[in-house]
Amino acid sequence: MAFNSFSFLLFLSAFLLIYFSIGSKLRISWMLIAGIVFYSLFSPIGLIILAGVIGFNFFTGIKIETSNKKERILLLSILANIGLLFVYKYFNFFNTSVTDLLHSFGVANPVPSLKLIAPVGISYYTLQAIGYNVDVYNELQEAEKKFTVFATYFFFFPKIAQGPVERPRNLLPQLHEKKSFDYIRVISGLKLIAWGLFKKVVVADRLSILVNTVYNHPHEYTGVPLIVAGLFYALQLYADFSGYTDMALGAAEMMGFKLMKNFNRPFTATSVTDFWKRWHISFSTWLYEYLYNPLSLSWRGLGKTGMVLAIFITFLFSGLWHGVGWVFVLWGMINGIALAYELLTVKWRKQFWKKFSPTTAKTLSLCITFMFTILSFTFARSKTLADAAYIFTHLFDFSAKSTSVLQLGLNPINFMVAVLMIVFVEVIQRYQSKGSVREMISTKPMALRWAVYCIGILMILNLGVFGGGSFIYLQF
Amino acid sequence: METAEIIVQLNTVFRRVFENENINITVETTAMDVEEWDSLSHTILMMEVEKFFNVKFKLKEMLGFKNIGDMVNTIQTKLAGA
Repeated sequence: MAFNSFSFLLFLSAFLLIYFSIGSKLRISWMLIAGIVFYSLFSPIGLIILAGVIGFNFFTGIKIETSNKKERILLLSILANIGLLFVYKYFNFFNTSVTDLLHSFGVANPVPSLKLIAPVGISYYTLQAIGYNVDVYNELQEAEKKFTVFATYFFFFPKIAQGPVERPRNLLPQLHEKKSFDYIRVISGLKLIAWGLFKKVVVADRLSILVNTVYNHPHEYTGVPLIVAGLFYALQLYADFSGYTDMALGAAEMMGFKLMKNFNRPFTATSVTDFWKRWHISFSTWLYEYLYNPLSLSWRGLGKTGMVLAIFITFLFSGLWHGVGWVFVLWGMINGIALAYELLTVKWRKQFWKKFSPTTAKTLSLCITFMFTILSFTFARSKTLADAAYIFTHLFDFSAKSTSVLQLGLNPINFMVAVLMIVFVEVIQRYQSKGSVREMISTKPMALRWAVYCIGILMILNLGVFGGGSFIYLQF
Repeated sequence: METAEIIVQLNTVFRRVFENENINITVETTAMDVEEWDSLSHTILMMEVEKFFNVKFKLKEMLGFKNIGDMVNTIQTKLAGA
């Protein structure tokens, strides 16, 4: 059940009606039931796997806290969670790569591929499970003793399918609090859902028409269509994922919960390091807390070499987490190279930018980072390495008669709407960076307020591209 | 060594590592309060703190630092045991 479907609105309405009608003691059980129902609509078989993950990690968390063999249990829990993720997502990829390698030497691979479909959300809930066990081990989090609370932490439906990658120290305490109906909060959450839906159906799904046209057959294009498709894909991915996140945060807010922020205007980043502090924040901070930081600190004796190694391992993991294939490995490595470069040239870059005025330096840095982001996303969107190589070698090939961008699925009006809506989202985000736009609107006179709401709804209904498909990050 | 004294000395390490003479840390200071203190510079900071105080942190200790106060307490314990 996708957040951008009518059935989700019905589900959420029915859930909230009962949620606020029953006593606070029953709410946890109701949230758990709703989470199980919601998840089973995605993946009935995945339900059994997730239930197993919850039971296993509930047990390991308590054991890590109480046992005198903490390290062993922590290691076991990490290996089990990573192992599960590997079997479902990566085994066939590595096995196929081995098969291809052996084939080139004329040897057959005796290991058959597995016929498994990765359950929805597995990449998200395994990370959360690992984070939970590590936090308990590091005494940053008490092991949860109430199984229903622990299970609800995983089955919390606003974040179950594609995050945010929550931390137990943020969400678990909230699950122990009593929640009451708060009209202002419920309406505020509803507005955030509407804004997320706007970004998804008006911006992301409109841009996807042009992006899909080009990326499905990249070899048919050169020059401008490839450049525009690359630019539109970066914006589509942002509108799609941040739209989903707004809807998840909005649904949680209606229930009285505050989930982690996932985005902070990533395209205003002035370095790749800065970009990763602004993009998919719940995931990038997870990488920092549970992978990069422990590795980098453990290898601090090696100086910057240890840090660079930690960066590469972190971004290799990040690339593979985002998708199965060599394009994702390469995408991760490119980001790793950029971050390593920025680490090793901190002082030099500081001196270099002093030659320019602060505004010029910031603008140039922003443009360079934005271009890097677009180019790196090209890898993530390309179906094969050959496609990615073709796109890169033909981006600035203007020799052939190029297809007009208005012949790529969007007619002139739709193309204009797409551009205007990108500008509109950016304008709203500029206001958001100064304070809550929702709160600002709520202080305006009723007539103006309702005019804004009506225009917003009409824009979604009239400019929205419905049936545009599921959210991109769901596949990860 | 007293807490206040450790903080003064720690502040000199912070100013040197982050090349910012305006940094004034307290026991409550976290990475969020120091603009230059990011994921990449954190490891360098830990290396410099260890070198300055001639102590060796355990990984678990470093991962458990919630603020400067935690770091100061650990340094104090290690110096007292030295």
